[in-house]
Amino acid sequence: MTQTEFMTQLANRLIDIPLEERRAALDFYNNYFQDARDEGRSDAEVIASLESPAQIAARIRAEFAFAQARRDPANPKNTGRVLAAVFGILSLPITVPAAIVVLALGIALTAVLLAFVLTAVGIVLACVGTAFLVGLNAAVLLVTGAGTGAMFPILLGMALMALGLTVLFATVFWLLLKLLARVIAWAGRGIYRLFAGNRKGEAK
Amino acid sequence: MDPQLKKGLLDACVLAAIAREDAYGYRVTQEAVAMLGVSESALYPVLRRLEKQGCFETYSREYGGRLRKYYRITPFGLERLRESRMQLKEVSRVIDYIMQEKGKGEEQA
Repeated sequence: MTQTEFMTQLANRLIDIPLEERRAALDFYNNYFQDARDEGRSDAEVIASLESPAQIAARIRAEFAFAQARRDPANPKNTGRVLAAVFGILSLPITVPAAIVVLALGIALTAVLLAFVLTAVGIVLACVGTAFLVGLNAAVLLVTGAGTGAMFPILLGMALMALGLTVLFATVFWLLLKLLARVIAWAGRGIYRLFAGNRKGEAK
Repeated sequence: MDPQLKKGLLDACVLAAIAREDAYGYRVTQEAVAMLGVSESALYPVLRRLEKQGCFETYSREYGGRLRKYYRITPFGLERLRESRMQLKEVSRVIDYIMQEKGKGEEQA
């Protein structure tokens, strides 16, 4: 592999992080090769002493995810980035037992987040649906003129109650989701720091 | 060295190296590799993270027809280094204790 090939592979694997971050990383490694050359090291030597472009990219993306999660910890999108970083550990040189633990923890965290979102969406949809159907019933009674009886105010009350519950549940779930996003991002970062250690470096 | 221990020392090593004199990425990396034996690619994320946290500011200087990026420590970075040093002083007391105390078994051997 030449420097150009190395840099192209690295750039390709950083395609989904913001331009500024990507440029900083690529500048760093371009200069790295040049500085190494000035000290008489060949490109092949430098490449041999670095990790693979995939591994370097995994580390850069993980740090970017943590920086984002630090800036906006309650944003579920950043939690998604952190979870991706946790799975990215699997591309780094770690032992097989460690990889199994990381995989299990990553899946567990993802499952918790997913289960919460699905439950929340389900309950909110049920409330919206109830409000809509009961409201429709009340409207039909009103239009057909049957609404003068006792049923109309009862149905209207139920529809409004369901609407109120929708707003209440949606608000509570949104707050809980932000809390959960924060906790999972924190846990993900901990897992990364614990497992993304460098076996290659240790052996030196 | 234990990887966890190494990781904890890496930030402090990088801060110390740049506090001594402004340095460019390759230089800092080589120093840290010589000192801690970490992989060369472990350094960029650390440098970038500390830079973003405001421990360093950067400037470019021309070298051999290209621009080289230098890191310079900020007051915040110096503060972080001071904190690390204080913590490590406590650790070094413990290390002295572990290193000096001779166990019974060791004396016989």
